[in-house]
Amino acid sequence: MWEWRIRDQIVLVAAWVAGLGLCLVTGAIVIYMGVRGLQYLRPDLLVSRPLVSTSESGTGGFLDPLLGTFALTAIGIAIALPLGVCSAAWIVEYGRPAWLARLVESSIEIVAGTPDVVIAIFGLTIFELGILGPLSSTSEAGVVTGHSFIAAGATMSLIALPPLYTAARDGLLAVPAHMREAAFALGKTRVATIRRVLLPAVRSNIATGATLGISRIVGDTAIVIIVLGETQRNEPNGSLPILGFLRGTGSSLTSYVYDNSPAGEGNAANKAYAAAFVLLLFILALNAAVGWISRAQARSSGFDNGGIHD
Amino acid sequence: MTKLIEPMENMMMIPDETLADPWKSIDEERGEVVPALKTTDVRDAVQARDAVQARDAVQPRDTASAQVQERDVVPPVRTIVVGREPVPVAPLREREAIRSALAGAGPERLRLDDVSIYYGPKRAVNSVSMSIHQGEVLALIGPSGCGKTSLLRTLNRLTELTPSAARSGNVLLDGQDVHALRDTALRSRVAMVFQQPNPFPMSIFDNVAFALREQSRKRPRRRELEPLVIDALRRAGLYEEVRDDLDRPALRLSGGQQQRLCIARAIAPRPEVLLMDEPCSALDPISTGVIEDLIGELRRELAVVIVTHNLAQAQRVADKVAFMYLGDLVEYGTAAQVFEEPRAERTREYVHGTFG
Repeated sequence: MWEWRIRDQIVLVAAWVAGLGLCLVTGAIVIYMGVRGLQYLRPDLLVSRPLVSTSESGTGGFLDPLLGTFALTAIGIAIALPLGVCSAAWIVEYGRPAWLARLVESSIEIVAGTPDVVIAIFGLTIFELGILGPLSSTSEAGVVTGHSFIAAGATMSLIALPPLYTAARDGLLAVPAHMREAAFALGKTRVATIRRVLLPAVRSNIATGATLGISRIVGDTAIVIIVLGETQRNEPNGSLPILGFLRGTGSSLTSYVYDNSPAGEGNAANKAYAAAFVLLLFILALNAAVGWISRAQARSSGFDNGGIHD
Repeated sequence: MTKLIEPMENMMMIPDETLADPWKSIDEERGEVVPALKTTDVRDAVQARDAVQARDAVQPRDTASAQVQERDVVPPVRTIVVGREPVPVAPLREREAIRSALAGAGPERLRLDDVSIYYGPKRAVNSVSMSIHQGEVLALIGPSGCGKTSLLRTLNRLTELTPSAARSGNVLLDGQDVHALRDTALRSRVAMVFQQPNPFPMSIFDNVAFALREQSRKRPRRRELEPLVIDALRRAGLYEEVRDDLDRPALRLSGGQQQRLCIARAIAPRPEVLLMDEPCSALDPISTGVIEDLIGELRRELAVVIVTHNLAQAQRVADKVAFMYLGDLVEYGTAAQVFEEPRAERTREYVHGTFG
């Protein structure tokens, strides 16, 4: 390479530095969080509920935020997955009239570019409406607060939608046209072609998108604080077992980390580290899952549609 | 075997006076003299064919026993053995004999009546009329961009997927206008195989079962589908090679196997017509040979229309040949006639390689 022009050499070196630098930063975060996390994480933190206390040792664990994160993820992805996949299928397979397709495309781009705080305020505004009262916690006086797992989960689905949609759309666009023709030539309708051929073919893309969506939900704080109510414990609303929980307020790991960091009210930094470590493990596990899903698909079908293989 | 050589059609295919040089050398090699074609021979041949046609016409279409009987009489042109290179078992003369025994047009399946196809203002196919019979392989030949594939794709209304495409004239399937049929129903009766093998990214079994699974609420169980899937794979000459593991991903098969899988998938719902759009152009010569023999076998159960750029292939597989040039049907006739004594000057130039 030393006989190359000087400009080429500079670019090559810059590319290497950028790549290695990125690895270095990621490695530093993971190692730092790992050391801190292992230092403070005790198993009982995962199964004990948070407590109010003046001393750090008396503040209990983070069972409630952990459950909160799972619940939000489940609700958010349950809404975003069909929505994202269906809109991707519509735009790629139908996409007519053109102005509507452009509208859908740019709507999703705008949602993707909107800060989550703005989306959170919007979500709160919607769920404060009186007619949506049954979906969120209602005070003794009958005031609809707009805070609940349902409301926060639904708002979360908005931030999970863009990556899901993009992944499914790109997957469908990568499916060669002759595969559709083959299905049509066998006497299948468009809907049957989408259901039985195209969606199975882009399973790994959808899984990748879903995982990206999940990481968005797991990592989001603003919506938890604004729409979920950010109560220290999950507070069911009403006496019904599951519905009460879903209508009630609560917190997630991110809001727990925020509260217990030196910036928050809790100020139990060690627990914040422990919770952050759990969060990080969660994200790493999701990344591994994406790779595993797309590899499994490539193995079982022999069809590689640009999923992530690591 | 010698009996099979008898039919008049064989002689009709290679008339003496018109033998081009390559044919002469073949005949010298065989050490036989083909008698000159007389008008009486032609009349006899036509009569014989009409008799066959009449016989087939009265037979109900799906009489399994009749098909099986016919199958027993006629030996396979080529045996396809697992993992071994397929070898033509019969010498050329014998294969020709078998071909002509298998030929003999059956009932008319498709009739094209003054069909024109337009892409926007451009006319791609210019009022084509012809009829396609069961038991015959019709080859559409001609240079690229002359409307062969467009014509093929109107037969199962795949052109409708192209928004700018329009059509005039009628296509009749067993006397019924294909535009009166639902497109999904039509396409399971007029199946299609494409240039590029295009199996779905699923198992071999699911690929073949795909067309059989109705879009009903209750999907048939695997147990019910299995005999049909195996039958289709067998008819496509693929079963022996894949019988050990039908759940293998279809995309792991070789190109030739994939194309035969596509054929199996297409013939699984027992269509009446099989359309093939250059089915061998992406395959190696051995796979091509296997598929060409398969085409010879398949024409017993359905009408085959094949688009090909490969004139030698058309000569090998076709009973009837239609030559298309710039959207016009220039010539239509038996393979022997089109290749040996073309009526149109254009056809003569094309089959002799002057252009195209």
